[in-house]
This record gives sequence, C-alpha cells and structure tokens, in this order.
Amino acid sequence: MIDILRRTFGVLVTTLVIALVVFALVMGAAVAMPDPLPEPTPGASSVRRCPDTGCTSSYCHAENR
Amino acid sequence: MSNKIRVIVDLTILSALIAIYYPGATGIAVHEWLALGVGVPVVVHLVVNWDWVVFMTMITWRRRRDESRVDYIVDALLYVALITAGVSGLMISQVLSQAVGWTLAVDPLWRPVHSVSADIATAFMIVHVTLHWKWFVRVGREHTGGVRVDQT
Repeated sequence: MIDILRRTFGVLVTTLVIALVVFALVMGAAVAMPDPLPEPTPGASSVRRCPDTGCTSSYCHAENR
Repeated sequence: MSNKIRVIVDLTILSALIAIYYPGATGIAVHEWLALGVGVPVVVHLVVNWDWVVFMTMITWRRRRDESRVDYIVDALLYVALITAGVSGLMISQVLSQAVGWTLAVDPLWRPVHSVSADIATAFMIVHVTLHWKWFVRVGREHTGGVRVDQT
C-alpha cells in the first residue's frame, strides 16, 4: 500500500512539475510575442495609424507596439 | 496487477486517445470530458510502471544505446506531449471551463500549442504501442491458452 502511495505521489508530482514548466514556457512565449494591431472598424479609414503618434508606417507600428 | 488488467487499462487509454483526437466526430463536450477522464487510467498506467521510469531515469544517460533507452526516450516525449496537450486543452476549454466557472483571458497561442502537441502525442503513442506490440501479443496468447508471460 505504501509502495502504491509512493509511486502515485511520484507520478502526480512529476506531472505537476512538467505541467507548470509547460505553462510557464507558453505564457513566457505569449508575453514575448508582440500583439497584432487591431483590425480597423467597419466604416473607418483602412489606413492604420499608430495610436501614439498617428504615424501610418508599418515601421512606426512595430516601434510603438 | 495482472497482465489482463494491464492490457484492459492500456486498451482503454488507447481507445480514449483515438476518440479524443477526433473532436469533430465526438463533439467538444465528449472531447473535453473524455480527455479529463483518461487521466485516471494514464495515472494507473504510470503508477504500475513507475519503478521502471525511475530506474531508467537514473541509468539512461550512463548506458550505451539499447532498446530500453529508445523506449524511455519515446515514453518521456509522449509524457511531455500529453501533458502539454492537457494543459493547453484546459486553457482553451469551453465545456470544462463553464462547468467549473472559469473565465480566463486566454492567449491565442494556446490553440496552436494544443493542436501541435496533440499531433506529437498521437505520433509518439503510435510508436509507443508499436514498441510494446510483442508484449500485447504475448499476453493475448497467454489468455487464449498459450504460454505464461512475465510482468515486463
């Protein structure tokens, strides 16, 4: 019985540790990846403007993400 | 645990994982609940074989290549892929999250992680079953009147 508990504890702890590592890696990757600029609303100008400066260049967007 | 029960547990896991891999066929509710439920036989499978896992973890990097080492690496990658599919599946779940009252702001990255890890887990599952196929055949023969089989 103690042997089964020992093995079960090992399985659960190992699984939990791997799950936490996976969670941390994916969340870290999600934070590191830049968010895409929002799509323009219907009826609005199709030209995307940087929210900070009003600049329409894609370079400007990348700089202000 | 007898070989007969071990085969039943293993075939239950295999059948469930095949069904889980096709959410379009089962529906998303069955997909999510079955994925949660298969955790129980997977834990049983791991508990039964845990001493082998610990033993191989300790010796695997000291030994030269052999069949057990290939088994161990395949099993380890399968284990990580299954956990990744499970964690990402929980993060993007629709039915389970409603059932427990989660309202998570889910990053869109979880969806491709779930899809890719499920594909990888399925590929390693096929390799895992193939590597242990002889054991399944021997146990099958034992229970159809053939020779007796050891526990490995």
